[in-house]
Amino acid sequence: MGRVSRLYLGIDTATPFLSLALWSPDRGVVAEARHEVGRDHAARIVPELQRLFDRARTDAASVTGVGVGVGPGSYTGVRVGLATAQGLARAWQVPIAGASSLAALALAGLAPGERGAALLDARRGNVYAAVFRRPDDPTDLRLEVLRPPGKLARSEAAAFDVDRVVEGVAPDASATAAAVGLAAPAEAVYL
Amino acid sequence: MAIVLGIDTSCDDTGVGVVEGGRVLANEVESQTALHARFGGVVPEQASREHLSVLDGVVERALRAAGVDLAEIGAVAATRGPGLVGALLVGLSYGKALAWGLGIPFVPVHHLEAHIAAAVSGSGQTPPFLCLIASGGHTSLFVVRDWDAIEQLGRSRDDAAGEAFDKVARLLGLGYPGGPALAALAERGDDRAVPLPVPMRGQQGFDFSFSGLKTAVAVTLEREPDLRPEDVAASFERTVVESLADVTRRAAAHTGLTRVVVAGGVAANRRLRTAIAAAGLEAAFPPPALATDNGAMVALAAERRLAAAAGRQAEALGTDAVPYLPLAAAGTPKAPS
Repeated sequence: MGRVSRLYLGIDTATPFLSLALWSPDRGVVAEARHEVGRDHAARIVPELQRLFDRARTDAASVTGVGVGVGPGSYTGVRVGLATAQGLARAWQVPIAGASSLAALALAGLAPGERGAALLDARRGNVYAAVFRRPDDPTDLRLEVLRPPGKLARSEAAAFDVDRVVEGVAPDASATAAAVGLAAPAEAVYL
Repeated sequence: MAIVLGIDTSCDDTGVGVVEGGRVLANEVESQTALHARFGGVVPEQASREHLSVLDGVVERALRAAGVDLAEIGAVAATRGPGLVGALLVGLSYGKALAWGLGIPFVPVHHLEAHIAAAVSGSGQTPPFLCLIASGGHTSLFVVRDWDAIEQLGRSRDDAAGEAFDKVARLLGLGYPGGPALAALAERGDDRAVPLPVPMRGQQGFDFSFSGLKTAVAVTLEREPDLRPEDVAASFERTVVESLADVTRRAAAHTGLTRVVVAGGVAANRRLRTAIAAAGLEAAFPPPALATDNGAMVALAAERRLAAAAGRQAEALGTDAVPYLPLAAAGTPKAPS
C-alpha cells in the first residue's frame, strides 16, 4: 500500500468538539477521534492530529486530500479548522475540500436509511439546522441533503418531520473526509 | 542557516515574510485598510474573515518573491499575541499546521518582540538600547539590554498613538485611516495655535496616554468650530510627539542609554524624528516596510529562538493565541549563544 492509495483527512471544528478522521475510499474509516474541547480547538488540533496518525500507524505525508467542515457553527472554530486545513494542504501539496459541519453532525446520530435533522445552538433561541437522509449502504457516508443548512428559531426546527434529531453530540468527521472527492470549495459559511 | 517563514495576522494586515540568517528574502503584506475604511476602524470579525481568505495566497506570493521552494523552508513562525484574538488564530493555526505538515519546527512569536527584532535588523543597532514602538495598535517603550533581557518600561494606558491620530483625523473629517492625512495637513499649520495639554507630563513612570488628548481636541473643536484644521492638526501632532519624546528622554536618563530605536507606523512621522533628535537621543529608524506590521519581523524574531523552540515542539504546536500577551510570556526562551 503506497502513495497511490487514496487517504483523506477530515477535520471539523464548528462545534464545541474537535472531530478528526482518516477515511479511504478503499478501506473506509481508518481512524477517527472526537474530543470535547470547548473553545480550545486552536491549542488542541495539531497535538490531536499527531495522536490520530500515531494511533493509525500512518505517515501524515500519505494523505492525498484534506476535507474540512465549513460550518455553520462557531465562526472562530470554523476559521481555526479552515486555516489548519489550508496549512496542511499547502504542506502536503494536496487538494482541500469543504464539507457541511451539520452533515458530519448528522452522521454521528443517524443509522443507515434514517432521515434526521442536525441542530447546533446558534444562541438567542436560534439553531443552525439542516435535514439529511443517510444512505442505506452503511459504508456510504455522503448524506443526501433534504433541507439545506439555515439559521432558524428552535421552535421552527422542532416541527421538522424526521426520524431523529441529532444535537449535542460530536460530529463524525468521517463524513468530512469522505467529502473530499466532491471537491466543494473550502469557504466558511457565516449564517 | 535555516530559512524561516514568518506570519503576522495580529490586526488588519496579512503579513508573510521569508528570512535567512537575518536577511529578508521576501516581505509580502496584504493590507485590509480599504475594507475597514467604510467602518471608520478595524472590525475584528471582518479582519478575521479577510485573513482567512487571503493568507494562503500571500504565503504563495512570499515564497515566489523569495525564490524559495516550500521544501527549502526550515521553520515556520507566527504571532501568537498580542492582537485581535480571532485574527491571530488564523495565522497561528495555519502556521502550526504548515510546520507540522512539513515536519519542521514551529516557533510562536510575541508581536512586539517581532517589532523589536525588525527594528534592530533594519537599523543595524545592537543592544543595549531603548525601543519605542508607536503604531495604530501599540505604544510601548522597552529597554533592550540583551536579546533575552527585554523589559517593558511603559505603555499606553488607553489609546495607541496611531489610534489617536486616526481618531483626531476623523474629528477633522479626514476619513480613515486619517493618520497620514493628518500629518500632511499638520505640515501647513501652526503647531502653537491651539493649546492642548501634554499627556502624562509630570508623571514619574514611563506610561503614555492619548485618549484625554483626543477628547481635548473634540472639546476644543466644539467650542471653536472656526479654528483652522491645519492648526488643530499641527498642534495635536506636536503634543503627541512631545509626549512621546518626553517619556523617551526620561527613560534615557533613567537607564543611562542614549540610543533609541523607533518602530511602528508613527515612526515615519517627520516631527517625531525631529523631536527625538532634539531630545539629544541617537535615534535609528527601520525602513517603513519593516517598521509597520509584517511577516518578516516575525521570522527575524523566530531566528533568535529557533534552537530553543525546536527542542520544545510539543509545547510549540499546542500554542494558543493570547490577545493580551505580556512580553515575558513570549514563548520559548532564547537558546544560549
